[in-house]
Formats: sequence, C-alpha cells, structure tokens
Amino acid sequence: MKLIRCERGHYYDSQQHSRCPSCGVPGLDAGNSDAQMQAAPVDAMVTQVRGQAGVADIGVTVAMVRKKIGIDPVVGWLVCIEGPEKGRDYRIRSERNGIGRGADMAICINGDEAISRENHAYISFNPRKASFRIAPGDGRGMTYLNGEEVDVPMPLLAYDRIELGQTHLLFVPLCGEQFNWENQGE
Amino acid sequence: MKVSPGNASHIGRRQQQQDAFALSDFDDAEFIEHGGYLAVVADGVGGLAHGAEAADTAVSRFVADYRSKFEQQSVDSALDEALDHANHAVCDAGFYLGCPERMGSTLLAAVIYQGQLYWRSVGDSHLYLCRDGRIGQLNAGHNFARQLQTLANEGIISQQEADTHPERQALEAFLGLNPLPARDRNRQPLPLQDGDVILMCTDGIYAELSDDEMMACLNQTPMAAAQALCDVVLAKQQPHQDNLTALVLAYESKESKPVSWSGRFALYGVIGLFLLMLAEYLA
Ligand SMILES: [Zn+2]
Repeated sequence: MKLIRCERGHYYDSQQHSRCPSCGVPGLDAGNSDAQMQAAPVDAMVTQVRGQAGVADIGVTVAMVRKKIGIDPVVGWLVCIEGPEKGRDYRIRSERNGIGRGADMAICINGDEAISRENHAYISFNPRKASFRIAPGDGRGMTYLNGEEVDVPMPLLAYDRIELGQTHLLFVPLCGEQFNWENQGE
Repeated sequence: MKVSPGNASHIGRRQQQQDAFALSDFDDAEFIEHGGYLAVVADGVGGLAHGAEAADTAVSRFVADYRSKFEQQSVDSALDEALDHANHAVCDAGFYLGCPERMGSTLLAAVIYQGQLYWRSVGDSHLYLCRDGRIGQLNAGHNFARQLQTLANEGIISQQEADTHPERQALEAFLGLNPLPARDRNRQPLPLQDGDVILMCTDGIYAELSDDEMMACLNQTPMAAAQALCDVVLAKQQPHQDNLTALVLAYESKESKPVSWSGRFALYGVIGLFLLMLAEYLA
C-alpha cells in the first residue's frame, strides 16, 4: 500500500487508485472511480449499491432554527445584588440556561470563584407555560432559593432571591401573563 | 511516535455528498513538531440549503487555519481559533448565498500532538477511542434529544413528550450560527497509549453500526479499517442511507512497533479508559 495525500487532504492508496476517490464531482462521485476497487467479495457486493445514488433524499437531518423572530430573545433577568459582580445583570433565554463561571455558560458569573465552572445551577423557562424554574446543577455546589436549599426543581417567582457561591441574585421576569414573545407581531 | 491515517467516504443513497473531510500532511515533520496530526470531518446539514458547500467550507477553512498556526501557539488555542474562523466562514457563505442561519454543518476535529488527543466538536459527528479491544465515545452529540431529556428530568415536559418529540434528532448546534450555541472539547488532552485507534465518523456510519460491528472493522490498517466501516454500512442496503464518512487514526508510541491494540494489558487499559472518560465528565 502506498498512501498519497491529495491536495484537499484525503489519503488514498496509489496502487489501487489513479486519482483521489474521495474527490469528485459533487453528487456524481458514486460511480466510475470505484470500479477500480479491489475485488474483495464484500466489496463486489457493495459496488452495486454505490452506483445507485440519486434516490430522492428522504429523512434528511433538519436543523433547529430559531425561526420565529430570528434571535433567541430574552425572557427575564437575574441581577446581582451582592457578591463580586454586584450591579450586573444576566439575561435568561428560553428553555434551559446553565449558570456557571465558564465563558460558554448561558449565564456566566465569571468573577465568583465559589461558583462551579459549569452548570452550578439551571434556570429554565417553559415557553408553553410561560413559567420559570430553578434546578440544582451537576456539581457539588449548593444553590439556595429564598434561603432554602434547592435540591429539586422549584418554580421561580418575581423578585425571588437566589444564592450561589458568594453571589446573591434577584430574579426579574419579562415573560409571563402580561407579556409573551409568542403573541407578538404575528 | 507515529500516527497513521485512514479515511473513506461514500454518498450513500443521497443525491448529494454533504460530508467533507480532510487530514493534515502526516509526513510534514516540521509542522508535526508543533501542530501534531490533524483530522477533520464535517456533515452538511441536509435540511438546510447548501449543505455540501457548508461542510466543504467548514473543513477547508478549519484545516487552512490550523495549518497556519504559528510555532509558539498552543494546540488548544489554534483549535479554538480555527473553529471560530470556520464558523465565521460558514456564516459568511450563508450570508452571501442569501440564506443566513439556514446553511450549516457539523464539525469534528481531532489533533494528536505529542502522544495526546485534543478534540473539538459541534453537532452530532462521533468521536471514539478504541483501546484494548474496547470502544468508547468521547463526545456527546448536540441533538435536541439531549435538551429534551434535561427538560424531562426537570419536570418541564413529560418523559413521553421527550421520547416522542418529532424534532428529537434535530441539531441544536452546528457551524453557521453566530454565536455558536454550543461547542464540545476535552478540558485536558487525553494521553494516548501505544496501539490506540481514534475513529471519527458522521451519522451515516454510527446510525447503522453497533459498537461491536465498529470494533470488528478496526482490527486492521487504518485505511482498510475506514473502508471496511463504509463497506459494512453499505452492505446493509438501507433504502435511505445517508452520506457516510469514517476517519481512522492509529497511534503508535514507538516508530517500529506494529499496530496491535488487543490483548496485552487489557485490564489496565479498560480501567484506564474508564478513569479517563470519568475525568472528562468531571472536568
Ligand atoms: Zn481528494
């Protein structure tokens, strides 16, 4: 076997192929180049299948696109009222929001070392019920809601107080009975 | 140390090949010195316009970007930068083709550098480590199913709603969204052992094969292994077979040793693998 790398970064055995079998005319690359394939028994069977591309595409992966209003809108806020980031606010978006120190967290409280890097707790918003919940995170760090430990998901109400690490947060909803993005501008 | 490449790809029974892949030059000693060995696979999102272009753009931009890393730059930083730039390239392409946010691609990149594995993943392409005759998946897919399960765990929706949601398999994250809603990586590089095999594949492969079937294909040279994975899938003759791509990287800690990942130190290997995977989750 003598491996060659084509200019697009595919490897192929130059003793079996005169050119890169992975490169080809898009959509038409199922045909002739494979005819030169080695004659292993499994392969002979497979080569026939390879020629049959072109059946209408069915069941292709469909992507979730935030189609309604183009962006993922804010549904509420957390406001830091005590702790290293006192005075800052954090946006809550639809469905699940992880809280942690990490930059990839939906709610990133970067300045509080006592908060877990990833998913110290979760705030979730259910768009169908327009309701908020707080749930414990994946790590060992504790979370308190109005002074009570959060060990199961709990409903969140306006101006509830959340404590995690050295941070105290106030919960301020946007969506609820009085306002919901779902009913806007349609 | 030495890394041997293997790759195979096929259109399946689709009209368009929306998988793309590339490997860096495994003979370029100068680059390997600071950048290691790179492999990238992407799966254009089929429900969206221009899936093939998206996958192509993602892969070629990622490889070009990583290839241009400067000597002092860490592998981690170069990978993060390449991922950002690849995402912007797909976003830009979507913009110019008039379909912003509707053109997308998964991307899975792996680098073996100084005997350690680094990876990045957006979407649902799978990364496996095969060690001592065992195979384990190292990344988790960004399918809506994962989020549905969390919602069910939190009591927001019922388990039945989660299990039967029509968009369970929909991708939550893919290149072409700005900012990227999610990206996976290993926090610590994974130390490889002599004889380890890394498998990277698109859903056209893993959706059709059990772990045992995958394992059975891997006990040969990487090139033959990748081809065998495609052949076994195609032999199943699924009427709507998706595009399929498999990349196989075989790692040898010493130049002279032949590839062999079965038998020896099986117990230690299995324990080690579990500890490593546990460490991934805790990190
Ligand atoms: Zn090629």
